[in-house]
Amino acid sequence: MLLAQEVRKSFGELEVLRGIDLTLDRGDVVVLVGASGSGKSTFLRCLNRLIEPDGGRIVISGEEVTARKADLPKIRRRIGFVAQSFNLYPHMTAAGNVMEGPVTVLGEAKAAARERALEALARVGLAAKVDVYPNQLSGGQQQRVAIARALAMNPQLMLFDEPTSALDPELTGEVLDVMKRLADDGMTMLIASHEMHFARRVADRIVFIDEGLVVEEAPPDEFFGSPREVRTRRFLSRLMSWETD
Amino acid sequence: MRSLFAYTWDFEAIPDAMPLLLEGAWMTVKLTVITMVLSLVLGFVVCVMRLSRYRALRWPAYAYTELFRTTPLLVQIIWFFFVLPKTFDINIDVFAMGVLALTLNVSAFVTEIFRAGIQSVDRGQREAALSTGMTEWVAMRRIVIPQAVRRVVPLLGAVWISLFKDTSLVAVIGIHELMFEGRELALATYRPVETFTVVSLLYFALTYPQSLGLNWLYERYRVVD
Repeated sequence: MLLAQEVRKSFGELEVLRGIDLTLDRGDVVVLVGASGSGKSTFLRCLNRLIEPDGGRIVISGEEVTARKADLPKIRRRIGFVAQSFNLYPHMTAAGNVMEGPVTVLGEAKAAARERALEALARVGLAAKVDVYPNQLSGGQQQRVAIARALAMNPQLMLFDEPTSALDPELTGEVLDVMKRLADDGMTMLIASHEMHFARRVADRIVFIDEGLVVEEAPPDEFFGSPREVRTRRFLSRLMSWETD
Repeated sequence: MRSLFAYTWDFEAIPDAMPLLLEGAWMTVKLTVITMVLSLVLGFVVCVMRLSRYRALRWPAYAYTELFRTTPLLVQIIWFFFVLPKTFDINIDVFAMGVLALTLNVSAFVTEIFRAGIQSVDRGQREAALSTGMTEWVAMRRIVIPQAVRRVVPLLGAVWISLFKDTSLVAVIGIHELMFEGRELALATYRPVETFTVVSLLYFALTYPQSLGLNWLYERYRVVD
């Protein structure tokens, strides 16, 4: 489903990704963890080439994303992307946001697209907010609309870049619930997140990135229970010292 | 103060001259409308060039906007008047000449307004649009520009008002707009004091409602993020 090999990216002198390898099979849910600035966001954006990688190879559902002549708009249709800051279109209602891709990119008829937009919004629990503008929605609701917007394109893979980091703590739950349900439905998901409880419950594997390299990759039990690498242990102990359980 | 009252005002010649002045005012309106429409088009084109990823488009657009924003409009008008016919053998009537000079000047400002408007839209908007599979151009048209418009409209209103007044400068190349007619009238009647007072009042009467309209635009298009 997803194959990333030796993905590298520098911004000027700063080497952010130093050769990341990652493989996802269909239905995999993988959570990327790591300190801020470890390169998680950059890596996710390299996968659909919102950021141009300097080197390496990326293949998603058989399509060579890093090919010189890759048809990026076409490839991106099938990769849902949910950003930390929601980025809903403020001049469109919730339904408008969700319909926009199907109508302008896929050329669907408006009525049919709206029908599917309503379904997608219902799926994230926002059937009641269909005709509301983003500025009247809470952060958690906005992020759920953003997820519905990505779902409306029938993605084969969903990328989440710290989807709850911009939310007040009491609003993260509703977003994580939606993501959990997506995972249960079999969606292939790659999630950068600091939500360790969520990662433990939902992930098939946890991938720990530090200084632009994959340090450790393991199923949650193993990752949290018996991490192999010193750097992983240091990272986890720093996190746990603030966690209450 | 003494001199103000020492002068005996005499508006006798004005009523007869009113039709001519109003004709001049009509020309002022025409110049403004035509210049503004052309400037919106040209400004948009130059703005697209300015934001292009190709240096060969960016650079001329940059040079153009900087050149026309850093030299006085009056100098530009006179420069065109003398240089175009003499050097390039381009002979167009003074009206076209005036419109050309005004348009090139105003477009430079409009370009910068468009550019600022587009760049004020959060980068995440473009990113979200691209990640659903839109091309750069569709993302611009559907997502970025509609948001930029809200920020840009009041600024364009301000440009409109200063353009309306700046059209008076093309009187120097002989376009029969309000200022030109005023000058003619002043010479013919030997009443420059009264004439230019009336001309000023006409400009005020025409511009003030526009200024009120602009305030309304500011309210209407106040950005709510």
